[in-house]
Amino acid sequence: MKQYLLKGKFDLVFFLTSLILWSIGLAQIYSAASIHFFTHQIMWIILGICLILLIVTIPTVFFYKIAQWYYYVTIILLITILFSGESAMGAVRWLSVGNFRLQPSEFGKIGLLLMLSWYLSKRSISFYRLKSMIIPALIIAIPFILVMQQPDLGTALIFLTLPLPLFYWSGMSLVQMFYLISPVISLILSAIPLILSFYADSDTEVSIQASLPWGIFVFLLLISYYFLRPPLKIIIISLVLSITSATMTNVIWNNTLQDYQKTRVVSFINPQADPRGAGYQVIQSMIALGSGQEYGKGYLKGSQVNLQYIPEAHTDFIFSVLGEQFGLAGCTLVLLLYILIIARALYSTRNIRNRFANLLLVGAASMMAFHILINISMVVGMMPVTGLPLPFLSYGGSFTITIAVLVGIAMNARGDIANY
Amino acid sequence: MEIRKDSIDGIYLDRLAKSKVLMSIFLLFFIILFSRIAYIQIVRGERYLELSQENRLSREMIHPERGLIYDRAGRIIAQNRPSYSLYITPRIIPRQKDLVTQLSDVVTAEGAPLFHKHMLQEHFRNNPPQKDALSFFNKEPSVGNFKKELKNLKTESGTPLFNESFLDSLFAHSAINEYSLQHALRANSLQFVKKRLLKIRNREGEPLVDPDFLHDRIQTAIQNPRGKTLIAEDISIEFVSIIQENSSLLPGITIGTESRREYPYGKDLFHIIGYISEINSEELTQFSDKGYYRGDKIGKAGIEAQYDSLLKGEKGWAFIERNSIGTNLGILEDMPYIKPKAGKNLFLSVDAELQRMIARQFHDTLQGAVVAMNPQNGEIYALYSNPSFDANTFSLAEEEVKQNWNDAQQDPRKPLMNKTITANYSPGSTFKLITALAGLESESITPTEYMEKPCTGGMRFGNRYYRCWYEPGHGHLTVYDAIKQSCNVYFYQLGLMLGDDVINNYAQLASLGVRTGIDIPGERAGYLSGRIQHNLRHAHRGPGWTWTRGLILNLAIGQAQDLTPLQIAMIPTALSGYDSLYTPRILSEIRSPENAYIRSTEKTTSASLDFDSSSVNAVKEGMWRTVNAPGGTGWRSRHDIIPVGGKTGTAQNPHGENHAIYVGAAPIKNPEIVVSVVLANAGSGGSVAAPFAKTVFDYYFSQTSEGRTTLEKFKDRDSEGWTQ
Repeated sequence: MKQYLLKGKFDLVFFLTSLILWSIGLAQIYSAASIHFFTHQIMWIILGICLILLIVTIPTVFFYKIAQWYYYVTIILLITILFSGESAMGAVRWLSVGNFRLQPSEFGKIGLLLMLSWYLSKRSISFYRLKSMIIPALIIAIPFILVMQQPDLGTALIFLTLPLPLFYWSGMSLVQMFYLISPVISLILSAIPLILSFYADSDTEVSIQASLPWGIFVFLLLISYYFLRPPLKIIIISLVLSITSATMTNVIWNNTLQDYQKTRVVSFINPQADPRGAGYQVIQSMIALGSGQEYGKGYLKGSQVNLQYIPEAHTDFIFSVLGEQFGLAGCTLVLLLYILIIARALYSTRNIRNRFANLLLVGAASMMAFHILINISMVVGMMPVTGLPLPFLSYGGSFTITIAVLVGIAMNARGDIANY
Repeated sequence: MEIRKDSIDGIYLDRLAKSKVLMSIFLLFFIILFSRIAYIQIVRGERYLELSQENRLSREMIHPERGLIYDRAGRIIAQNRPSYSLYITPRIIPRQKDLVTQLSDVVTAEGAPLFHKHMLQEHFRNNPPQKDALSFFNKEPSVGNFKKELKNLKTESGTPLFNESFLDSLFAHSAINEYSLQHALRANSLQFVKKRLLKIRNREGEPLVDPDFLHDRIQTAIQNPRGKTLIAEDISIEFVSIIQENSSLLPGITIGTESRREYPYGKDLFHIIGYISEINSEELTQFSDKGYYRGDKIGKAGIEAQYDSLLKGEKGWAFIERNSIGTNLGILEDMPYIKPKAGKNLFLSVDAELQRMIARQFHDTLQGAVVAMNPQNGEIYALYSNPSFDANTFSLAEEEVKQNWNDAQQDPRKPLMNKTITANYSPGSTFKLITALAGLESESITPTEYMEKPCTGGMRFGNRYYRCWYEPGHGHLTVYDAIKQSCNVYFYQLGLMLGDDVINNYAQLASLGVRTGIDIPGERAGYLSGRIQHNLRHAHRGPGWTWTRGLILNLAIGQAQDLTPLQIAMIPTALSGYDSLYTPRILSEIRSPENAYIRSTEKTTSASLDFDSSSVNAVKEGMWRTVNAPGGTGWRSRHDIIPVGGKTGTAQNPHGENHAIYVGAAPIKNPEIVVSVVLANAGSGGSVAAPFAKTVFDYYFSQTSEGRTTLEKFKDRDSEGWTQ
């Protein structure tokens, strides 16, 4: 046993950090939800710990071999759910298997990670060689479209962001990444004046300044063509797509969308604009967080939590529960622990020759980072509420297992060094 | 399967660099988030802490002002007035404190407690106080009667709770802090609040609430302690100020302001404007995407229902800050706020004074309807149905509304029914105009031609004798005189010449038997007889009821159809001689809450009327003669200056007195106003209904600007025939 702990792949830092975070999460769930959720979460965490210990013993090559098959299975599950899923909060997300309710989109996250790592470890890709992009694009698009059907915007967002660091790792340069995401940037920036003019009264003109960010972006894009000299087809593709996406945004906004749909879009992007619906959640969450001040109101003394002002307090908004009870101190501690895990995973890569293990480590770290960043942005009112849980802290069976698998994979890949 | 491996040497530095880049990007985002969290918790922390205190913040809907409704002359016919209601929120009312707590909260001028809590507890354990001693202060506590009340306190066994000499020495040594006394002894249990509410009276000595009603409401309120329960509705401003002055004694009592609908013309315009009332669950599901909420008021009839989406405006939302006893401290700054948008103002084509003039002529017992409209564009001037109902009733307190509403619903004269568009009457002889038009248009007759058989007081058809209303008989008649004298025999023969299909073709062109499309809900289509319609309607009654040609006779003189008074008004409208028949409409203009023009409704054509002018003129000549020629049945609707054309009708009613009907148009050459009058069980059209129409013509040509202009033109002319 001692041998295993010291020389095997098991990593005490990952393990202890996870345990601490899980314990903090359990304490929050206890204060925010019924005892029922608390005991269930304990069960899930124990299952998670077992999974970590199990995954660590498996040789990395095993993941390499099963990667594509696991991916196919999750795709089938995602298709199944569209036809026979149970709905939660208006979206179909659950699949009942006996007494268990599975959330295939969670397994899809692992599936996409394994599949992309497997594919990218065999081939390097470049945005300048467009053919090399076709298969990765398909690998991402299929599960993305399937979760959008549920609709599960949070998971869809993870499916879109996870590939970026993996692409970067497998050979894409930052410049190529910029061209890759330029249409998305263009779309977001071109929407700014539209949304501002929707807020403004009809008699005040939205100034030209609102269009400035998009102007700067196009300017940068053009400048980059001159200095970086990308292939002509890349210039054409990125420019055409950027301008098309900006035009489409304007056309759809002005001609297709009805006023109530615009209101919906605006309140999705800026929940604070609308005190109904999503805005209410975010405002209550910010009040909870803010009222915690430096050191919090004390455990079990959070009035926002106790009076159940925060909706989804034990899942998506668990961070504001932490903030109310433990203040900035508690939040900082948790953020530091997150950074520790992510940094350790990323820095482990330098010693590993195995390309697949490398990608797994980067992917696991990035996926955790994206979850954390998106969830907290949502809680502090910087992002639309899309429904994405916070690693280790949020309640949730499938999600806890996903996080455990990520930790296990990170440990396993990190320990791959021992084999060489 | 061999896993691809990178050579350590070449790739190490690249990996290191890439991991640093990724980590820096992630760290950058973490730092942004951290700054945001720190901003929320440190910079804004105080504010959020304040907001998180219990009951400080509530998200509330702000109701918009409902749009106003004006008549064609700009008179307000539906407006809003503010109304105040009282609500109770039991949860906000502090619990009553026990005697020990009350007494131990009293402090001396130096700030030291008057009684020590543990000493009191010890004392009370040995000498248990009487039950009602727990809340011994019912009036505003003062230092003067504090001592007196203390002396009166008894233990369960009836002996004084406090030793008198002890109290004397206590009060001799220490001066009491009056503020702490008031604070400590103010018992605020629900029962006290209730007692205080019952004591409130205005200058006339009327109580604020009925004790039984209040008791019931408080029982309801206890079921839902966090929510607001209504305890008094529509209270006077005097009560509002009394309650505001004493708000510290009435915790948990809040005043809600809402606006109530008021209709200055009350009964006169009920069937046009309709009324508003609380939305029911059916409507909630039906209009689920229109932004209605439980408890909203929604238009239930008339214009209020038809144009509810224009009138209702858009709701606002705000975060309202309230103090611990529920008083509104105003809208919270720098929090999301959606301003309410007032509803649009509507301008109707209706003339409220004309409507009132018509309404005044009706006795409450008389059922009937009067329609006046402009045939040139379909604008409705008046649409009155008697008896009517006062929609202001809906703005009264709930109990009274229920009572009045139930009475109205059970009234056999159906005051809630808009008879102008829903009641069915036989058009009687007024329908002969359509038969005449059909005959002239289909060239079965010419204006100057005499009918084959003279009227001898009736005619035989098949094995039945069909009577004319005038027993001696009218003799030989042209179409002019047949209309003027309303001769049945003439139209029996014409009907047989034409057949039911031809007559109904022309009737349908005039919107008879189909909905006219007027812009208030609930209109009925009516019924035109005819072979197919008749057989369909009586299909279940067996072979004795099938169509026979003899029924054409009834159809031709208007005794077989069921038409609404509005459709009856469409008969002279279709005969006005204009190219199109316009859909009747009430709304003429939509304006912003500030009465800035938004848009006006366009006239819409419901049928194009390409009648030969000679046939229309022949019918008009008949109508003119009916009113103006000697012996015409409609002479009671004659106007001194303006040539009026009309037609009387008397619909036979098997259940009682005949219905009196009249239609008319003026000036008959180019009509500006058409009128239909239907009076149920009132007698003959010429004697009862025609004078009604005359008052409408009189009003129009003397009180409205359009009418007066026309009158001036006619004054200069020779008013003998209408064609010159």
